[in-house]
Amino acid sequence: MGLFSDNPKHDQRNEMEERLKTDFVTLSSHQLRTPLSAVKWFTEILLTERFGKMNKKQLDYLKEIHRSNERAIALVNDLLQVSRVEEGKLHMDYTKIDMPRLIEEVIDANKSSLQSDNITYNFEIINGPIPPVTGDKIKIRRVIQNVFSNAVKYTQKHGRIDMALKRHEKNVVFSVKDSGVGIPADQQEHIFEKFFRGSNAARIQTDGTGLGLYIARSLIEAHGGKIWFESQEGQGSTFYFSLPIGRKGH
Amino acid sequence: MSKILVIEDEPAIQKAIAEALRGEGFEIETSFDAEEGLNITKMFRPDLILLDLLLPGKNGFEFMNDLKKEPDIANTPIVILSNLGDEEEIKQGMSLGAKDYLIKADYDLQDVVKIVKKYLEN
Repeated sequence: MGLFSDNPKHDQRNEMEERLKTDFVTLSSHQLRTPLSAVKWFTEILLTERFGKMNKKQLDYLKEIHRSNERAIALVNDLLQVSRVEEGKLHMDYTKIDMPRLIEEVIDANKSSLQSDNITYNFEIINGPIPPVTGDKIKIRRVIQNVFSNAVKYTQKHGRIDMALKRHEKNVVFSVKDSGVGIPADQQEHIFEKFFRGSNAARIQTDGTGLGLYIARSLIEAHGGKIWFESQEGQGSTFYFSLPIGRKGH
Repeated sequence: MSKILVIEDEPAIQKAIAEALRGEGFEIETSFDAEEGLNITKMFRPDLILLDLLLPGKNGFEFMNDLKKEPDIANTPIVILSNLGDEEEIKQGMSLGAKDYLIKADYDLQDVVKIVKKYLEN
């Protein structure tokens, strides 16, 4: 479609597109997501085998296409978030957040991957009831998801994840302890860096982008909170984040 | 059998959604733009509309505003299905009365079908 069309239809479309064009990242992510969505959905239709049964190799390869495409989608989503953070364009929509409920929601959304890997999990509230924190619910949910999915990725089959939420002075602290591969001591200082992936990641074939913890730290710090971890190679890791009770962050 | 109108300008996406919904026994009409979509809504009387936002001509939000001016069809439930996922768009879509706002790339096709079924049951 030309930009200088005489067609009034085009002019109307352009109003929205022009606004989006000033936001290059938003438009790029939209343009990238569209063909990725088509690949994702047609692959899913074929995987139902409604048009005929496939042999094992065909199914395996189709699953590889789906997995790679999911990774591309995750990367686009993460890059969009990183760009928002780095351009200082994070729009914060503060509300009172019921943390136990939000954590339960994230656990529920991840139940299928927990079950498929036979991972046992527990979520405990210590020193409850937990007062609400003031924050952007979508962003805090994303932090919980990033920390939690990291624990799932690095905990091998039949492992264990223990989560706890507690009040500590003027903060709420959430912790996720996994029984995974742990982080080698010489790599620990890099763990929150953009695109950093530990050497263990390749060994256990996780498909992360190396952006999840970087995004988590940026979002937590934007709320005036902190994120940290303890880990020993071969003995798992515990990630923590804290959020101030009842006040807005920076 | 419930009737669904899919307003989506990307042929591949339109085809995939229509395929999945027809497979579930829904009666489907499709449109590539908002104006045609409004005309089809008047005649087809869908039980639900799946609406893309970035369309040729009027965009999805304009479609929602136009729909409200048509008393007979003003209350047709709308689920936005877009790859624009900024909070600004989500807020605008929900404030215009959308039942839900789904970012295409983040949903399995089967989940989209489940969500459509949920809104049709209510």
